[in-house]
Amino acid sequence: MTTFVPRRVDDLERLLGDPADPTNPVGTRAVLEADERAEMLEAGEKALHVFGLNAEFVPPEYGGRLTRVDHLVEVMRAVHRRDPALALGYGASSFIAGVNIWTASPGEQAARVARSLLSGGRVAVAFHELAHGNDMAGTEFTAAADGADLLLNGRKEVVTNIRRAQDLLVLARTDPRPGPRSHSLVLVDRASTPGAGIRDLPRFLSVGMRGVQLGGLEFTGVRVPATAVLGPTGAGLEIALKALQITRTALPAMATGGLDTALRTAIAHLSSRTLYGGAAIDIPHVRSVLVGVFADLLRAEAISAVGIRALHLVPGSASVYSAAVKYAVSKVLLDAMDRLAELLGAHFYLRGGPTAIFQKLLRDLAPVGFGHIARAACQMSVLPQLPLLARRSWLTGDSAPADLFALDAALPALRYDRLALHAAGRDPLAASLAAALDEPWDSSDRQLRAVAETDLAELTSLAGACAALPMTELGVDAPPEAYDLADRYIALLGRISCLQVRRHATDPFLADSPWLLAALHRSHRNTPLAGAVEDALHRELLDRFHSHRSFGLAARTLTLREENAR
Amino acid sequence: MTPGTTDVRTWLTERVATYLRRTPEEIDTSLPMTDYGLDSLTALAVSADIEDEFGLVLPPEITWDNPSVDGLSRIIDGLLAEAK
Ligand SMILES: Cc1cc2nc3c(=O)[nH]c(=O)nc-3n(C[C@H](O)[C@H](O)[C@H](O)COP(=O)(O)OP(=O)(O)OC[C@H]3O[C@@H](n4cnc5c(N)ncnc54)[C@H](O)[C@@H]3O)c2cc1C
Repeated sequence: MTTFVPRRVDDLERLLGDPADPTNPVGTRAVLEADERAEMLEAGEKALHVFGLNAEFVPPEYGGRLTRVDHLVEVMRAVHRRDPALALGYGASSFIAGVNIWTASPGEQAARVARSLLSGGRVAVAFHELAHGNDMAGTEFTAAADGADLLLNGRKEVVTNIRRAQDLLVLARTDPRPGPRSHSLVLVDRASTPGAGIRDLPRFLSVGMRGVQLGGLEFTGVRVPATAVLGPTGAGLEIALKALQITRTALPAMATGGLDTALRTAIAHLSSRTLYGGAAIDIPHVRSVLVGVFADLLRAEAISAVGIRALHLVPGSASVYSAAVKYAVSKVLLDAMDRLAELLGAHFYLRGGPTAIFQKLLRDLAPVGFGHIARAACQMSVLPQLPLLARRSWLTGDSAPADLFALDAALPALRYDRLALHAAGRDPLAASLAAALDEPWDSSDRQLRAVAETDLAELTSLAGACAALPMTELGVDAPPEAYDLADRYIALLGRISCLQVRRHATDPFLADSPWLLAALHRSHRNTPLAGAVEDALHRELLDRFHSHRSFGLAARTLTLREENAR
Repeated sequence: MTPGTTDVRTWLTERVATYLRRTPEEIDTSLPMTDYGLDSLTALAVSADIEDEFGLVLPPEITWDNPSVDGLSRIIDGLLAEAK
């Protein structure tokens, strides 16, 4: 049994029940009805409360279960498989607020928020203002000192659960001057804050995640104690830029659960559909697209897995890897959903019938590309780091510890205090490629070795292009061509991640080469796979479909279906 | 006490002046470098140069704390003394 899946995932699956059962209050039918009403699925929220999902977001020192981010992600994938809106709207937004609080201030404030979460409360992360989007430093909401108090003024908009949360974590300007030390994180406890100056803004309706309560609040002269500031005054952006490395990694990783269900839905539909006198799923092109999506799902999870393990093992480099995971995984997921939509044809457009969940998943998955942080903003955050990474690490740097890639190896505790604003040129993941090629390879891996050598040539060429870039010209005004360098670099990180996961795998399927050859092929081009590779993955895909196992790295038995079938 | 050994301070003043396209004489080493329009990316570049020149590892937040050339020289001196 793999250790990167905690046993409690099975308990959660059992609580959520059989998705296909039309009488299940948390089944697919109920999920779709709640979506049509643009409401959160109440029975789903109750089930997650019974499970104690919020404990997944709370570090162990405050009584929670957040010991390993891979475990948290596996738990959340189980929720995403049913309903991504439930995953975000019940919980993930409290997780985003939480990591900021745990990073900012180990102490009484963190302990209070932890107690609230553990008893089923919510904490909203009120960072976003409509006028400023990704430009966090543009934040206008102010917290001005007034004696022993702070006066809050301004608006926060398009914020999940802002209305019903017991606590708000607000990013506020505490200094009118421009610069990185002008913002602070302010924790607003609704119960002890006078409501008079707080006005609810109308709810924001959305295309997907329709049940999620996106709201806004306007503050006019609201008084909170100065002790509401988390960490030092002026440290807001620093704390956020460090803490959000955790969520930029974990949120896209969780979203693969939605693609799992989408792929399952497509296979079920195409298996039962007769076209041209045979099952649609036997049309070679259809089969090829399905296998490609399967390879993409595995690729997305391998890239995520390394990024997640990096948070524990090499947190000082997570500023780079978190942006890479967000940028790469979101694109793989969105493209895979689009290709499945083509296979489903009209059935991806229908809001009723057995494939109806697909159109919801397609809408719900879209924010993985722009929510939280835009993909282009991820590129921009990597850009100024490229010269140092190239010079100090890519060809000569220290290689990563083997545990970065051994999915079943133990993980040390998360050290929020080891996250850093930039990696200072340390890139053990990219450096692991040259190190791997220095080691002996099995003769049966000749083909893989050739691929790895091509990648090292690409890394060498990229290092040549990046080492000489003027760091000072890689900010917001960076030339568009520079973004292509970030794109090439992130593609390489993804390929190296997949290769290394395979080299360190113990699971027979992951230690074999077809999935990796497929993943590496697909990271370059969207053309059919070699026949033998496709055949091997096709067998595995259908075997997992029929034996009710998940399609990701874990190949987890979806307990409930199994038990029902007996 | 003089802030920073002259070596470190002179070197740093020259680096900063180059990035800001000024002469070293124009830089008042007691003022925050941001007063001269030193932005966060230039600060990152300066800190990378310091690391390369002196074989040090600087805390990444350093570039965010509006240091002056004097202040930064003092930090470098401290780290160099520690490394000995
Ligand atoms: C379902 C949902 C839930 C949300 N929940 C919350 C919440 O709980 N709390 C909260 O605070 N916010 C929340 N938001 C808001 C979310 O964080 C914003 O959507 C996000 O901040 C981005 O803003 P924007 O899309 O308006 O992007 P903008 O910043 O306006 O960007 C628009 C485009 O400009 C380009 N761009 C932006 N930055 C760069 C860059 N650096 N380099 C190059 N190009 C760039 C990109 O192409 C980008 O897509 C939520 C949004 C959604 C959809």
